[in-house]
Amino acid sequence: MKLKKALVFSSNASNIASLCWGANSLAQESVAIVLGTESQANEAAAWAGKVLWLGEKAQGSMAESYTGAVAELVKKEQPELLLMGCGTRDRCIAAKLAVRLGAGVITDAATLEVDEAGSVLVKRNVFGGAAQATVKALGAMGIVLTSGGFDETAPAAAGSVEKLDVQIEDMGIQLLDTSAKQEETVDIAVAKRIVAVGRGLGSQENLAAAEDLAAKLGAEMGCTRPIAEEQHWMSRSRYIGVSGATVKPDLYMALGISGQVQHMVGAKSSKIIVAINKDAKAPIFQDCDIGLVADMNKVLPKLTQLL
Amino acid sequence: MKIIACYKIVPYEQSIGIAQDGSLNFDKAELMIGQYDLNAIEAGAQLVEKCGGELTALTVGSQEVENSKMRKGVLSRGPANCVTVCDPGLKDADSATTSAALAEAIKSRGEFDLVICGEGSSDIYAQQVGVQLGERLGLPCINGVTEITAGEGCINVQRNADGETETLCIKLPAVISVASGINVTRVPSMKDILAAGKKPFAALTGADVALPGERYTETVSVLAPQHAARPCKIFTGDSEETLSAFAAAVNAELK
Ligand SMILES: Cc1cc2nc3c(=O)[nH]c(=O)nc-3n(C[C@H](O)[C@H](O)[C@H](O)COP(=O)(O)OP(=O)(O)OC[C@H]3O[C@@H](n4cnc5c(N)ncnc54)[C@H](O)[C@@H]3O)c2cc1C
Repeated sequence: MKLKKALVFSSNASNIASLCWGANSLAQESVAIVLGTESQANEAAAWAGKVLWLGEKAQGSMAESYTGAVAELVKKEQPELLLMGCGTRDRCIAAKLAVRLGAGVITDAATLEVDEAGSVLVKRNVFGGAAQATVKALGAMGIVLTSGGFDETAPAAAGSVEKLDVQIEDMGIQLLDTSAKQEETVDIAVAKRIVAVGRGLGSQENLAAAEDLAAKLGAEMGCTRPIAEEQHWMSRSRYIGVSGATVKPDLYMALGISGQVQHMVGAKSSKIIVAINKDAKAPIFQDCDIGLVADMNKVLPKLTQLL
Repeated sequence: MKIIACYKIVPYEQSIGIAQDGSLNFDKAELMIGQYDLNAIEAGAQLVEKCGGELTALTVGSQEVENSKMRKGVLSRGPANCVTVCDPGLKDADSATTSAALAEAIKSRGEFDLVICGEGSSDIYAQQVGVQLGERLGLPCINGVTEITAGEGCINVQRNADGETETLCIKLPAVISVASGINVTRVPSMKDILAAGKKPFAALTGADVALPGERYTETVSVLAPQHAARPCKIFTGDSEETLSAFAAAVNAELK
């Protein structure tokens, strides 16, 4: 079964196309709300039956302050589904919309479908990826956040662009400064061999020995979430797991990684998992092909010669 | 500053049992404080240590919230006191139900300046509760906070959003959720743990706090994926011999 109408919005206009593909596959009619340039609005018209263009984000404003404008459009359009992206801003806007519109939010949708009764069913990871839940949106409209992955689909009829004049709201928050962060982005998902490090590394200086091993093996460097998010020793695009990248290399070498579900879920499709950890009881030793119980920082130079 | 840090008691994933048919069994599951809620508690504790005031820890849920070991664990990490709201109706609550219950609990407690939530719960990790809570209280609210400095009637924060770093001035009272990288959480000392046992707490129930009736999502099923077991050939030690044998085993796979 298909829904009657799905609405699409993202604070990041480059998400719109893929979200529209999802909307077209789930609903008879798709409408996209675009906050961006005129060309982005026109582009969206190739994928959505109708584009409601909010214009470009006002200088010095935050995308979040367009929540009220989006809420008004949702009330007017009365869709059964609002599809959004999984970024920090979309999460913030979705949470505000949920409360204002009395709707449920389901985030991080891996798959979405409409059942016979016309309800939206979403599959998403729970318990750090140890299990997958199927969640149903109740009520007149559900808000679903997804990072895409839909096949390309065109709308039933070519879209039109409607330019709207909207008010931005006072959130009680003043934007004093904004800057784009400079960080390398690596597509670790395509790597054939990966040497990944965890907190067992101990210090940033010890990275060099792991990098030497990676160079010898022709492997890409990866890491656990704390190495990227807390220690900032490696870029975020290199961390693997339920909230990071999913990889499927021939060789996954885990150094000083305990092997918590949240991490292993991202690495479980690796052909061979090799682990080095000084704790024989680390969970990773129950989920590897070959393991070595030893101090990684002691054995790495020697292993780089031997491998 | 009067600060409230919200947290959730969750099962430790690694201890959840998985039956043949993929269904989950929580009989032997150990409890823990949500990993990213510890960052919220730490952020609150650091603010109070720096600027004075008082930190209260708050949780809502079913019977797990009254576990005394968990409560002590929270109180040993800085809060002066703790409030738990326990009600069977809060079992498996989604972010709407949780944020509504937190909002009611907070309203019933009087004045405050700042509510801090973690990035997301360890079990569901929808990353929704902080902002939904702020919205329900009708207060300024934002997610992704990576640094907090107290100002006059406001806080100045750094925020990370989709590759942009923002500096924001947020009017108090406000509700924020903090990114997991905001701090490194403390490991409580023996002294902290002993002192935690003497700190005051309020164990409330649905009779004390108006709980939401309506649900907006329904969990239809929760299943663990099929898991192919790996051989787990383990070598132990760092002698030349062991390393050679280990390397030979790895090299054989690389061919
Ligand atoms: C909602 C949620 C989402 C998450 N998402 C992710 C994710 O996507 N990716 C991710 O990685 N994590 C994620 N986590 C975090 C995850 O739960 C673990 O905390 C994390 O994976 C642990 O990283 P680690 O193995 O580096 O550190 P630790 O668990 O601290 O393990 C370090 C290991 O190193 C070993 N060690 C120490 N010194 C040495 C030495 N000298 N030589 C050899 N071994 C040594 C120790 O024995 C230990 O086993 C998430 C958590 C939550 C709650």
